[in-house]
Amino acid sequence: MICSGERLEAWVRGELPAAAAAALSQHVRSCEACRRESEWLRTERRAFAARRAVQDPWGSRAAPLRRSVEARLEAERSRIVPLRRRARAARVVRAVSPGVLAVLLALGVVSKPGDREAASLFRGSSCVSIEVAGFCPLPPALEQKVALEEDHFGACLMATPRAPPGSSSLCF
Amino acid sequence: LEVLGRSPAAEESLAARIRSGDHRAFRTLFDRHGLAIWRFLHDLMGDPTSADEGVQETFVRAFSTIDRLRDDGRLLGWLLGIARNVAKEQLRVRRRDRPPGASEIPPESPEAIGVHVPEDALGPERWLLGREAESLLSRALAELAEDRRAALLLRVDHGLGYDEIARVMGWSVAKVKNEIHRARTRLRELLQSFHGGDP
Repeated sequence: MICSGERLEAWVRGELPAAAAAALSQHVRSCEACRRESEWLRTERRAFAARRAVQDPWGSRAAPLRRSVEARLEAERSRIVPLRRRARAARVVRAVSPGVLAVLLALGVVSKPGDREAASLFRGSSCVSIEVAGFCPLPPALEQKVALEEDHFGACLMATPRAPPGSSSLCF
Repeated sequence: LEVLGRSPAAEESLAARIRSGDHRAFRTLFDRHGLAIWRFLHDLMGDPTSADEGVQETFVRAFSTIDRLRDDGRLLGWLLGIARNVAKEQLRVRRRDRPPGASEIPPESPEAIGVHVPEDALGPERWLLGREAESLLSRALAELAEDRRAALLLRVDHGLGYDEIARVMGWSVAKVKNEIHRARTRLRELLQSFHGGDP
């Protein structure tokens, strides 16, 4: 039999099947190294068990520690619940905001970015042509220019009627 | 009853109850495994106050991460794994805050820690079972490298299998066996040196 520390440990711990344990027991009787090793493993096992018995301070500690843990968990729960509520509210806002925006656009309370961009393209043109261009997609490079045209554009919006339905076909 | 209470089936049922938000189940978990976790942390960190803090942190983390537990039947191994991470973090902070040159655990002789080694003792096996065993063993354990000590404790003191220790430590099973073997060898050398004999 090959001497194995792992098998000896399993034997000492009573984890070997009966047949294997019997064979190893016979081997240990004739092998000095395995006998010494198994003695040490038994001693180690007993020593750790004795240490556990001496070292047990749990009686006085358990209750206060458990109360501390429960208090911390309670604090965690109260912190987590408002966060969950906030997340739920954010989800509701995200869900309804496209509809609200559509209503505001329809009512003319807010304007599309395209409307503003049209102003820089049609400086000096009639307000009607600006209104038509407002329904057309424009290159993003015009974004910065558009910001400078707010006043002109604002004046046009006030002065002209909305473009007729289907005016997007006028896009260039 | 105690043995039945810690069977894998009982542990699985307990984990399921905790997951469903049963506060009493969490209390049961604490009562069942709190002492083992405290002792493990005490052995890793060396003082009761740190162990107290570590126990709290371990159970708070356990509660927050119970959904990530993969094997409900191995609650103790899972808790010991969390405890080991908590200890590592606390020890890292302690090392960072320690003045340069100061040692983590002051070197002490058996006499300095109140241990009387009998003159006629033949070896560690004999006097390790005496009344000073606890101090001697604790002192020898404290001298072991941190990870090696953790692996040995998980095996000898907490009864985990090699595969479970491998999961807790994030090592291969081969490495676990090797480290535990080295830890045992070193433990014997230390106990011999405390005794005054050759290692």
